[in-house]
Order: sequence, then C-alpha cells, then structure tokens
Amino acid sequence: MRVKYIYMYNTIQIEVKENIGIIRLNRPDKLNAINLQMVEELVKALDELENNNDVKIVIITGNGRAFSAGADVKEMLETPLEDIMKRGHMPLWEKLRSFKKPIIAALNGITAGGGLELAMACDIIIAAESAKLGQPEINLGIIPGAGGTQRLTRTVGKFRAMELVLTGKLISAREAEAYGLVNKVVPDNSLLDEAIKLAKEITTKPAITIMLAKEAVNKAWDTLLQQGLDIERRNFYLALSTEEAKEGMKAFIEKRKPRWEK
Amino acid sequence: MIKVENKEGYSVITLNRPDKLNALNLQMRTELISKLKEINSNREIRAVILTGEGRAFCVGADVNELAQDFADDLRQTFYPIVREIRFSDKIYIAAINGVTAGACIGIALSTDIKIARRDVRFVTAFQRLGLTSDTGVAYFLLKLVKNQRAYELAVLGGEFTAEEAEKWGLLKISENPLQEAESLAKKIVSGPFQSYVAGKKLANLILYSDLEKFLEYESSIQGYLGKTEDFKEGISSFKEKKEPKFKGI
Repeated sequence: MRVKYIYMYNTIQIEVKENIGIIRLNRPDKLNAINLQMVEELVKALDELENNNDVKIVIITGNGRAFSAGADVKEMLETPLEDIMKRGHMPLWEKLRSFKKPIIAALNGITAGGGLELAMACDIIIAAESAKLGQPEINLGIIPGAGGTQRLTRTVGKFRAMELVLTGKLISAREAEAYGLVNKVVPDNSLLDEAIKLAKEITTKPAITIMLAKEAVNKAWDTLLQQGLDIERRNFYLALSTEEAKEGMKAFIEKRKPRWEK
Repeated sequence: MIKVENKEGYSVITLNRPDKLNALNLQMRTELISKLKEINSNREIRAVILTGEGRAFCVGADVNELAQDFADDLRQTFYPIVREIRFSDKIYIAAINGVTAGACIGIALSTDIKIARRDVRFVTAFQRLGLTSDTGVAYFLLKLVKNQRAYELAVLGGEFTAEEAEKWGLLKISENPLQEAESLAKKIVSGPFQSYVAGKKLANLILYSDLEKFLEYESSIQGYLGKTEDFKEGISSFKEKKEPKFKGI
C-alpha cells in the first residue's frame, strides 16, 4: 500500500512514501544551519517516523546547495553557555543514537561541522559528487562538539582526522569516498533517486531483523570486541526467534522468495 | 530470439531478430543473459562467438520497449551481459556482420576479439535521444582508443566506421567475420587454453579493474537523463522522424 503524508515544519520537511521516511533540512538560505528549532523539529520528526509502522528506513537530505553547514553560529554566540550545556543540540544526538531504524544521509552539497556530525550519526552516507565535507570549527576558534573528533577519527583514522580537524579544510566527495567516510558518490542529479533505490532494497528485508542488525553493527563502535560479540550473539538469538527468521530460513530451504510482511 | 550452436569446444551465439535489426528487447536480453550463463558454466566450451542474423549485428535497446527507469534497467538487464562476457573464463569473439548501434557497441567492445566487415557502421545513437552513452560504450571506447575522435564520439556521439576503427587498432576487418571468428575459435580450442584465460585475466586487471564503479556511475547518470524533457523530445522526434528541438536543461 502506498502511504503518503506531508507534515509541515518550519526548518525541515518530512514525507513518507513506500516505507521510506524522507527528512529534508529546509533552511536553504542559511545553508541548513542547525539551530535550536531545527533540533527540536528533527527530534519530533524522528519520533513520528519511529512510531510510524509504515516506515522501515529514513533518508535525511538537505534543500538547496548544502546538506548542512553546521550549527547556527549566530545563535550559538548569543546563547549563554549554561543554556547550551543544559540543552543545546544534545536531544538530537541522543535521539539519533537510540533511533532503531536505519538512516541514510544523502549529502547534496556542503556538509560541514555539525552537518558532517549529523551525517556521521546516520548509518549509511551517500554523497552527491559536488558535496564537500569537513570539520571547519577551528576556523571559528572552536572544535567539533558532537562526533567530529570521535566518529570521524574512528572512521578515517587518526592522521586523516587530525589533518581535517586542525586545518578545517573541506574535502571532496571523492576524497571522502577514498577515506571510507561515504559509502558511495553519485552524480548530483541522481542523489535522491539513488538514496531511495538503496532504501527500497533495504525495505525488502524484514523489519525487526533490520533493527537487530543495525544495533549489532553500531555496537562495534561502542564496545570492546568481547562485549560487542556478546551483544551480537544475543541479537542473533533474538533474530532466530522471530517469525521473519522462520519464514526466511524455510523459504531458503524451499528455494523460494520469503514472504515477509511489508 | 537467441540462437546457440555448440560446436567442438566453442559456441556460436546468434542474435536472431533480423526484422528488427536484432534490437534488444527485454525478452532478448533476458534470454541472452541466461544463454551466456549456461555457456560460461559449460566446461566443454572454450571460445564463444557472438554474431547477428541478417544485415545487422545489433542496434541496441529496442526504442519501442524502453524501460521506465534506465538505472534499474541497465543494472538488471544490460550490465549482466557485459559482465558475463568480460569476466568469464572463455574467450569471446565478436563477429560483427553489420550495423551496430547504441548499447550493442558496448557489448561488441566488451568481447576479447572484435572482427568486423569493412562496411560496418557503428552508430552511438544515444545523444540523438538526449541521453549519454551506456552499457560501457564510452568506457570501452576510451580505454581502448586514445585519440580525439574517440573522445568526441564518447562525448558528442555520432558514427564511426569499421575502417576507421581498424586504423585505431580497435578491431580487425574481414570479408567474412563469422568464418574468421570460427577459424580463430578452433585455434583457441586446440591451443594452450589456460594461457589464454590467464592473458584475459591480466588484461582485465590492466584495463578494466574499475569497470564496476564505472557502470554504477553510468547507470545513475543515464537514470537521470531518462527523466529529462530533452529525452522526451529526443525519443518522440526520433519515432516521428523529425528533427529534435533540445532545450539543454
């Protein structure tokens, strides 16, 4: 069944079609800078998509020429440190960390600072070939504050991360691909199409199993190997116990396609 | 629509839809893929000849049966043909008996040995429809021919002749390509076959190790072009035999 909802937000747009939730960052004149309102709306949108049983996977992309140029600098300068510490952007990062469905970041352009941190908090990253990526915080006298020194380093290695963080330079999508920072680079005009194709492929897989798999892979980052292996084994047992697994294994033996609920 | 004759140690695959100049419709592509797979897993076969029935080798995709989504279509029904030919442990020979257009140029160039009749024309055709070349046409052309003319053909489209292609070293010319292909196939069958297969693997490593990445990109960009206004104009003017009026946006 084809479901299509359009919700109205101020700083983002969301849409659901064919089991895919699409979030578009929508402050194009500000290069989709993440302000407190966008944080609040993203959290709300992710909540809705999490609770929407039609949605199996989410795509986040940007309207205009940026994915996101990072945090809203003006707002950051004007907000008392106490308020930033009390609340700030944390709700977004917490929401992303606990979000159970896979998220594909589709980088349509500049992806800098908090923008890259947002992408790295997702599960798969596809980049348009004109996208530029980096952590330019040092040029403002600050440093990355939400994964730009941690997730980046774990992804590209210490020396490349150090160069990016210390110089603040932006790299091309192709360089990022060579670094293993993006899954693939696609022609600009095909970005959303390709993200949707990949998402669709994943939506053909069983919903509960997708979540168990995502959690297990993410634990490789959060734990030592032995803990990770323990969590993986537990999720494997859980997966085994699902109806989806019974159907999947039976179909394999009977040499037919599994019939999973959409 | 695909005829296969198994001879002593080699197979001849004939694209057999002569009234449509062997244009590849979906059924034909599907058949070709399954025949190629069958032949590639047959241990008795060492060489494979690919040729066309009638006056054409093959004129590319059938424009009367074009897919909705070119990216998916290329990935699912064209690239498997190129892969089966390029990465199999058989030596493929294209016996190019007549006009060759569009995707079929890519299929012809994906073989190991290309033999064409002198009067064969190669028509890239894509740009006339508001598309860019696909099925590896630009890739194989520019990997194999390093000159301005090949570059222009890849970017702007147009035609080239077998005679030109022979001068570039892209193929060899024969008055009877099928006959020459068969005598070559016989030599391959009775020769040190493992050496030849090893040679093909080396050539793949030297020339074609980025083929998969290229195809991924090519299909993506063609997928986009297939949704443009220029493509609509290109295809309708082509069918109505009118001059296209492209907007370029």
